[in-house]
Amino acid sequence: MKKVILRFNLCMIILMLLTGCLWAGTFSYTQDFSGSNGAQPVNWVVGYGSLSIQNNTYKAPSTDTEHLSYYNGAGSNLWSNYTASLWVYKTTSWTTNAKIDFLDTTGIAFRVQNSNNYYFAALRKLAHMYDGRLCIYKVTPEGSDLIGSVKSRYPLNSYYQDAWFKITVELNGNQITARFVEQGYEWDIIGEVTVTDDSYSNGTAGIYSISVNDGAGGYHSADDLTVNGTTIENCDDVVAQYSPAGDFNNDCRVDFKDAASLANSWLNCILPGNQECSTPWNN
Amino acid sequence: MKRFIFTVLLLLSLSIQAFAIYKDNPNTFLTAGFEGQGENAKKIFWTALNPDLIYPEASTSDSTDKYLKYDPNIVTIVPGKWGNALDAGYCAAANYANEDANCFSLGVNLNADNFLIADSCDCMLQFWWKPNFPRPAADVNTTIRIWQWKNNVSAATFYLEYRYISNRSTVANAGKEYLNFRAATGVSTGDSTSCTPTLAPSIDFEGWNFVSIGWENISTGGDHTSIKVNNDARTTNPAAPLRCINFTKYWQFMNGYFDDIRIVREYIPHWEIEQDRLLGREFTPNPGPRTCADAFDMGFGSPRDVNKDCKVDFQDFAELAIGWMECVDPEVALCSEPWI
Repeated sequence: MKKVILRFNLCMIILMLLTGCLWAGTFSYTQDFSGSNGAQPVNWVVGYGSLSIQNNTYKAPSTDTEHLSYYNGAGSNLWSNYTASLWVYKTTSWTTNAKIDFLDTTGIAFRVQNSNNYYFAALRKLAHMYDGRLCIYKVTPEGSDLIGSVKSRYPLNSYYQDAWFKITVELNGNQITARFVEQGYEWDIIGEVTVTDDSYSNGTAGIYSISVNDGAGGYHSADDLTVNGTTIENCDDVVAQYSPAGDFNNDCRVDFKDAASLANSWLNCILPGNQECSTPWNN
Repeated sequence: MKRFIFTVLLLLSLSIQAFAIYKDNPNTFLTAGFEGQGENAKKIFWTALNPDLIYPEASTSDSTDKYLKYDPNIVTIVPGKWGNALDAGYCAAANYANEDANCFSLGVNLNADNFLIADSCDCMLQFWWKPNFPRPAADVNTTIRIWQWKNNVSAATFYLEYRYISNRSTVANAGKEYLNFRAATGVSTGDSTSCTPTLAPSIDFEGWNFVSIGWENISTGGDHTSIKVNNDARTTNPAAPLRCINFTKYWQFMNGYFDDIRIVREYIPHWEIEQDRLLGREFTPNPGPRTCADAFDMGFGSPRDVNKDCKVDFQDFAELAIGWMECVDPEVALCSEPWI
């Protein structure tokens, strides 16, 4: 009987090796930012800026600085579909601070691939808006793009000062949902926004912040990062970002199916101004 | 051997001509208007092909504080290109260009909070417009705002306005129609209050009108804002110019149907423009792309067109051949893992 079980286990191991299932699965990570003042959490990387542990929170100084720090533990680069949440707090004022338009925010960074490629969700007051918004940005080496935002149901600027808010992001393929609540009123979703973007399909989580020197010692803090989800498992998790150019049917390989797909469209053209080409925009 | 088989298969398949499935090309995206008319309007109504685009908050007063939600599905276009294709099928939109150094602060932003600003640039705003109000009776004075922007800071409004002067009027220009630019009180920059046309534009009340609005850069000696409707090239008044106004806020409402908004990064003095040159084709509400890049920007490109030259040919085949049998499937151990 033992031999049978042993052989069965061996077969299963071989099968899992063949299918690559050994490294796929779920994960869970929490970080409460406890530790010595000025230290970094274990396995965290400072991409830029100077976030550090202060009084058991992760704090941005009262300077005009952009910050990014993220967890870089083993396998975190394989995190793909997950839910992550972070508590954020600021003492700076959106009402009185003249620098608020493009500054003064802290939020959660997610699918962080490196210091130049990631998303973040944060509460911001934008230059041409008069209310707080939960914004989702995509960061590339060229800069950051606002890819989605939602207006807060509580638009007063003062509402966001001296209060803790929890920002949660849910990542499922190219669907990114962000929402936020206030401490003590977690049942009350103040704003929620969903965007579709397939630029980054995997990556770790961290904290993004733009602190300001408001002349009054104002600062930003973050606390209690929790991440739960799955690592890269199958083609759906990677196809958008990593699939080769000839993978027309999005099955993560370039093969005869793609050749057939190309053949089906062979010599199709939509070149504007060319009378021999089709004009689907007139349909 | 693999490539031989592939080539044979490809050649056998050449005769198969299948139509690619392209997304629809929706046109009208939003309409709004008055229950009354002009300055006496008591309420505006809003409709959109997707009503979720409208913020649900109640207006604090008539005709104010209504604007579009941010919607990532709204197509983002670059200045000078048409923005009229959407997966979701409910909104054509233009995007702001104020981050573009070549046209620093002209913008029509329908995807965040909607604003138009024109400052220090030679720019044109062009769009198709179909009125949702009837041609006024010949003996009725009529003023209707077509597209209005609001500046919260200065409590000013800046708007495109249709005006008809009754044929029974004793004032000048009786029986004529106008499209005017006007700036209401509170505008802190820009001196003029109107851009009065010298001739009536040829507005089609039953169909689509091509509206072209131009700003000339005051910093380089220009001082004109002009309006052109369809092929009427004389609806401008350099003697009473509306300066580029730093008007940074959102639009309040539109009165009619709008489509294919775009920003052109040049101002064309005296309207020496050829409709065909701007549109790429004869007068049509839906001019379509002018270049291959436009076609891709508007969502008509085929994924099989790997090199995005609007033709599926041997160059695309070469791209496919380069990656032949490459795989990145995480469930297959032998595939590459670029994410590691």
